[in-house]
Amino acid sequence: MLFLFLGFRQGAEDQINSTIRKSYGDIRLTARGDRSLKEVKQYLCENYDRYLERTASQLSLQGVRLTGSGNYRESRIVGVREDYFRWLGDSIYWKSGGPPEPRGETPVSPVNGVLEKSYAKKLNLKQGDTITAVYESVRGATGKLRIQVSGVFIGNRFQKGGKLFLPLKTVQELTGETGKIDLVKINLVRPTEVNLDRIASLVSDKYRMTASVSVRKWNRDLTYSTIFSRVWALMGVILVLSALTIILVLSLGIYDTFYLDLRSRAEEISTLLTYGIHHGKLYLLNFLEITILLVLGGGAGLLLALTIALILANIPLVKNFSYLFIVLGGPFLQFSLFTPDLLIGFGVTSLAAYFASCLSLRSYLRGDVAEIVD
Amino acid sequence: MIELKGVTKTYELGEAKVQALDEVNLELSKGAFAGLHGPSGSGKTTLLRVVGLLETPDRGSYTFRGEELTGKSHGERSEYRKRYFGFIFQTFNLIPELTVYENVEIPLMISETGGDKREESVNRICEEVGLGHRLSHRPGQLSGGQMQRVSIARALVKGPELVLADEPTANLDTETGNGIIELMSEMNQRHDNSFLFATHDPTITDYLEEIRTIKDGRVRS
Repeated sequence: MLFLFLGFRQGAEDQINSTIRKSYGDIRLTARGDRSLKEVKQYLCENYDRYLERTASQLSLQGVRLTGSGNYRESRIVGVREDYFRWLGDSIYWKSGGPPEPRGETPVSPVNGVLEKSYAKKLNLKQGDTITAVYESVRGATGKLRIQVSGVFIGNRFQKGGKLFLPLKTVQELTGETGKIDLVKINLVRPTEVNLDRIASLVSDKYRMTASVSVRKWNRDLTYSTIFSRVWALMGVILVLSALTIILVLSLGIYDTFYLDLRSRAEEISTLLTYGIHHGKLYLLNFLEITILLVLGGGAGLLLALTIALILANIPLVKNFSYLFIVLGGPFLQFSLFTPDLLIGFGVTSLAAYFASCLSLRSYLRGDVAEIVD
Repeated sequence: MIELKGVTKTYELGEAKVQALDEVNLELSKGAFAGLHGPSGSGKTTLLRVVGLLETPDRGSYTFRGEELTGKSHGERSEYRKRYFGFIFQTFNLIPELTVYENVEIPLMISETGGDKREESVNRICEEVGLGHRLSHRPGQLSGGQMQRVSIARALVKGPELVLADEPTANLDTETGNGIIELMSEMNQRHDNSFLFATHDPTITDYLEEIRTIKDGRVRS
């Protein structure tokens, strides 16, 4: 039970780490001025591919925010009435308004787009529907675009808001920046400090005029204090408190069991004592017995935990629960054994066993439970 | 072989004091087959525990093989028990997880007797008490009489000078009890050791060479 819990606790933490790394990248390259990072990315992929876990430009869809600010401020898709989105608040900036265009007015075949859930709900759109949007780029180009809803994006609390995702190629065409990649997120296979510094240094030296390099050294404090600080803090508190609770409850249970177990063997101990066993040897025997029990029990427990974890890790979580785990990388529970966790958990419960047993034996030897008179 | 003079033992139960032994005098010669007879609560077991060095008297002296034992430390008393005493209990006190052989082997393991000698001693004594064919059985597979035989074998395996038996037939029927007493009598003669019983069973007293009556913590005769 302890191993199972600690395994899933560590698994959840690994999933958080994985999500953060995927979202943020170990190294983040942004273009200087109007320059593109296409060449930089190509150089990295050709020369250091074995060090790279993934790069963000491998994604086929590019997010486009409907607001006038944010990471994609050079791309705007407009063409719906402002009051449809009033619920989103004052941060929304609209270039122009108007209801969705009727079908058939634009002869161009539709492009696939992915809508954020709340957006789709407001417009009463579902997968397969087609809408026509009026767009205007920052360079002043305007036009109409037919978009077929190929999917609905359900964002977590950090990804909410009126978003529309379009193929990268379409966005590049609309913004007139066909060949431009202005953001590359890189994850390393082994994000050690040395590896991070090495890749970051290479890019900085070679492409000083093109890219600005932001290195996210794989440091929890640094990463969690940025975008995921509240999630991490909450999850961290829950996971640590749960771990402490289960270790405490288990330790008390083990303490009780071992204390009573020795008491129930008073007859056996008294027999050994009558035949002249020394107290020191009795403690030693007791210590050896508990050690053997803990090693065998720990091994069996670990095996059982791994078996149960293997089964549980293949069962998808129910919808509501898996929504929570989007942040953690669900919908499957992840199991991961982390040595310090195991050592602490196993160590504390083992100490409880040794302590309870020694206390019980000491109490017996001091005559607290001795036969009084016949 | 043993001599107790003016031995007194009092237990404190909260504010109440129970005088278990009151100025007890007792002598036991080598090779004796003797018993302490008395009703329940008379102090038989306490006296047996004092003789067996499991309890220390509040007052009085205890001499064993000419040596004064009162005031000995825990460790010294353990050494004496290990070398000179054997114990037989009313409830047999066998370890249920161990076989007959392993149960009998316990005193030899505690006294760190070597492997070959240990094996030879266990096999010999088990044969003597009639359990040679039951060595691999566990206590749960034995009858009450057989369990007490294991207990006797365990008490005798290391060749003690004094065997203390606390109500050894109390959990047995009369016929089996008589068999056990006869066995102990035979062992007493064969091994030339001494036996001291605590019992309130009058049928046992027929087999005893010496009987001391104990009542309210005092030895009467």
